[in-house]
Amino acid sequence: MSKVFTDIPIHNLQQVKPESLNRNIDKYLEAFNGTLDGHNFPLESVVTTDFFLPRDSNSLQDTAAGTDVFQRGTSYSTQAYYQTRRSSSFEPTITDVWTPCLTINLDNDSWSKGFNLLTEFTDFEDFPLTFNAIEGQLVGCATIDFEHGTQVFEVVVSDDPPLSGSRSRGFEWWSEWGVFVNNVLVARSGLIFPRRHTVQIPFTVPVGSQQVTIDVRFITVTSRAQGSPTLEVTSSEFNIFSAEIWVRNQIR
Amino acid sequence: MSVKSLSLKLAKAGGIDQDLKAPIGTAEDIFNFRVDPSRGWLCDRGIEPWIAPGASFTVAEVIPGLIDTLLGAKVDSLFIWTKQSTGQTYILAEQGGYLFYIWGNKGSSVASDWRRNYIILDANRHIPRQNEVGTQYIPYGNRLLIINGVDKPIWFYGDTRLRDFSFLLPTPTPDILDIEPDYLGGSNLLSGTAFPNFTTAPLGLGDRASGDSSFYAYRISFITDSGSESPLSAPIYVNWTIPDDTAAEKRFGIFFNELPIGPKGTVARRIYRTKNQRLGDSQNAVDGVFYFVKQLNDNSSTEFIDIISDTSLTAPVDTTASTVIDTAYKYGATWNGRLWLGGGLTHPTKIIYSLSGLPEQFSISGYFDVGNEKGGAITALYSYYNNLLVFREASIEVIRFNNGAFSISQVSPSVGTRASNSIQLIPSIGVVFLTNDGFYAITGGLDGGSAISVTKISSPISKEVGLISTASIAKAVSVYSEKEKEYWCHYPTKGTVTPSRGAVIHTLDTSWSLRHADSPEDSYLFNFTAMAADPEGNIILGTAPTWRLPNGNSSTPSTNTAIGHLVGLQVWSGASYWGYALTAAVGQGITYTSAKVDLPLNIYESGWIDFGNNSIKHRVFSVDVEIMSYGDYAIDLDWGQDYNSTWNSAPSQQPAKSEILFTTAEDPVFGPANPALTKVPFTVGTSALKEGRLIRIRWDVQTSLVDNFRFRLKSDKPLHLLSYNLIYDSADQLPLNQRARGTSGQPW
Repeated sequence: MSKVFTDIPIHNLQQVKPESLNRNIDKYLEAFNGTLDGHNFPLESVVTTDFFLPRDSNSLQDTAAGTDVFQRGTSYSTQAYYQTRRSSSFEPTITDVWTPCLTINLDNDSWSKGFNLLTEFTDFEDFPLTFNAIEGQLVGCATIDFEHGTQVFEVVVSDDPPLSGSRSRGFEWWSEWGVFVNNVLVARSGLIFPRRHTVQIPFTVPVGSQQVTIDVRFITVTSRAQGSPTLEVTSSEFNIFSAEIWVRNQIR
Repeated sequence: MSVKSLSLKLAKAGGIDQDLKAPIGTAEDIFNFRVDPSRGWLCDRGIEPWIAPGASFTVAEVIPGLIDTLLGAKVDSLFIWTKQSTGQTYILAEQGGYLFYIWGNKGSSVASDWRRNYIILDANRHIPRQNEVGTQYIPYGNRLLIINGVDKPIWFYGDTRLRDFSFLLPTPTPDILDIEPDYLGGSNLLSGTAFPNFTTAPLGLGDRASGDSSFYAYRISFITDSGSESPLSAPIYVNWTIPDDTAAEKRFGIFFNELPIGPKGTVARRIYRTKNQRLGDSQNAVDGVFYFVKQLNDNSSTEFIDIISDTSLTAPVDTTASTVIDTAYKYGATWNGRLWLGGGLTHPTKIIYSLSGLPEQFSISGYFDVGNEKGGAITALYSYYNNLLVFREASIEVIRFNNGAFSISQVSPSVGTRASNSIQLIPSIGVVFLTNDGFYAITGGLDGGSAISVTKISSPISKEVGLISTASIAKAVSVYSEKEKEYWCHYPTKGTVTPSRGAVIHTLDTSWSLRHADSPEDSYLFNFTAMAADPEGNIILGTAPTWRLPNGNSSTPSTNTAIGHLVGLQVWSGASYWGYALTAAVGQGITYTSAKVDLPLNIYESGWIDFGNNSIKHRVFSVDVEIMSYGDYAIDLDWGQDYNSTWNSAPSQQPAKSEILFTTAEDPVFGPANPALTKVPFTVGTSALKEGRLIRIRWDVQTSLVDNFRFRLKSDKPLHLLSYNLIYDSADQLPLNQRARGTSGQPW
């Protein structure tokens, strides 16, 4: 339904008939009940201040989310919005954007050569977005600010005269992020070669009326430089500065 | 006791019939009424602004010109586009050279951001002149083509995405490095390259024996996101000769160092080349057959090395399959999976059509030219069932698709139209359009033994048709609304360029009525320059706003104390007012205060009634009218006699049951609770709601002995008229014989 206009006029001293009271109001009631189109929505309605904390059964289930992960959601008659975020810019335990909120030492920490669940790492336990979806479509985007750098080390570049110089190494190192909805990979970033990078992965997937968990996982490929006498640290660290998922559950 | 009088049979209040011998019951003029779905003529329409201005709003930052344009310029075009399979609705309009769409809800109460309602897509556009129909909007799938015959055609995706439509410029030629076989023998590299090179087949191009000359020509094309392919670029040549040096006996890869990037909307590029023509220079090129080499599925890379040998080239390209178009096409339609464009200043009688499913690709042979037949310039293309109608100034043609080929034939050699925006397909009537001598309808098809016929349908409003300005007829606009069940065409009258009167066909009973002001001074309240119906069937009106100073002089929206009527898009609705008047107060910014405008008068005027026999005299006592009860306000009736232009007033009556009027038993009415006005104001929770009832109201009139009589009902509030009756008596007086006086000459 597009914008609603007056259906029948009301003048002073006009006879009051049932339709003079009902007809115009019915149109507004229909709008309240969900017969809406783009003209009913404000031009800039989807802004942060319009998000509200969960209040009903469609809202976020994960009330245990602590201060290290920020989550919220709100539902309207035709759509619902959910967001989860752990960010070095906003969350109180972290100070600035240059400090990673998660550092994985690829030499010493435990990680997998396949897809790594973020929940396996410190302070990311509450990160997955879990909510009760209504049949329709999920449309969203995952944004991850991360770094998998090259490794810089000194190598001998000339025997005579003896010279050494800084060299960067990272040949065929890469990382890849994927968005998983109920453990099904629905979107992936493609290979990202060593750098700090903010990756945005849009995704859309049909959904039933069911509980849905959305999370992001990564694969990383690095190498151990065996036998290099000048090397002590053989891999650069894998840093995550922020991770965020927002999703819209489009109902009708 | 019975009244000693005669009575007409209760005549159903019919539509307009301006025929001299129109049947009793028809009307001479009906304006601002509609046909109620449950029968009868009902006037309950007003207009309300599409965006309510509120009690007042302030424009804090006044951008010179913009405010006068958006609040003061006439709307030159209006189109409501529901994007296919998305439910998104765009209200596109054009005002003062700006093309924009508007949001229904700007989501903020900050009045200074009023401009945010407007998403401006293009500016400095051509403003149509008096004889131009203006911008045409042609949906194709989930894209919209916007053309006006002057500006670049716009291909609109929705949101704020748009780009130039099709290919207006030739495709640029790529740049290729020269091949320098000498380089392999140790000579200096002057320009070009000798890499990569190959010795084993099939990689690489050219012949490798010493003294062999190789010659290739390349052309490229762009592929847009609609799948359409651009015309091929001009060819670029590369040729080389193998020197007498075994080191140089190689086959080469040909290096593109500057592959052109396509215009916005390009998703891929294709490279074509000839097979080796074994020539020393391009002057003697003989073989013009180009073969498909490679499609690059991007629009960003600038380098490419061709190492594909001649034996792999199998698909020759049709160099006539795509050609550039110009911006002059004024009219278009989507039909048969193709986009059809036609008319315009530089090729008024030419029609071109795109390839099937490829709306931006027009082949060199895909055109019709109707210039060899009489009929004048093309004025519209309109798809109608399985035919494409081609409207011209003085004829109508039809294009059909038979046995894999298009054919064109004439439907009407004499009737055509210049009012392109008056063409609408109306259920149960056909394709209706306005010509210089009235409205016509096209009905029927060409299949199954049916024939297309063009019929004049406006005989009942022949006097009104005489008022239409033929010079400005291109300015006529129209709309069909399924909600209102009416076709409404609004046109300029003689001597004017702004549409201010309209004719309406009511599809419920195919009757006619009109839409105009009661007096010429108020015609500015009917200045509707564009029309469209939204998906709900609401009629949206683009207007020519009128700004005046309190002393009546014309003014602008940025002038202090100026008052503006019909500002912004309006909606034909049940509003009990005629839009808002805005009063400007210029200070820090401009503050506009709004006030509702009173409804204009609605009139149902009967034709001259001769009581079935005007040879004898009649005396009319009263007009007896069957209407729906509507409350306690006055309805006026005027009457006239014997073709006299004077209207006499009868005492006004109320559309309420006479027996209980002004008593406490009256049907409850909306306030005010003032006993001097009504004894029964509606009280929530107390008053019983009553349905409207059919009642008979009588106006007493006092004619002399007359042979013709007419009356009119006037109201600016709802009036629902079903039928009427005249109570009269007849005198046995025969018509005068004129001979007695005729022999004496004219007395003075």
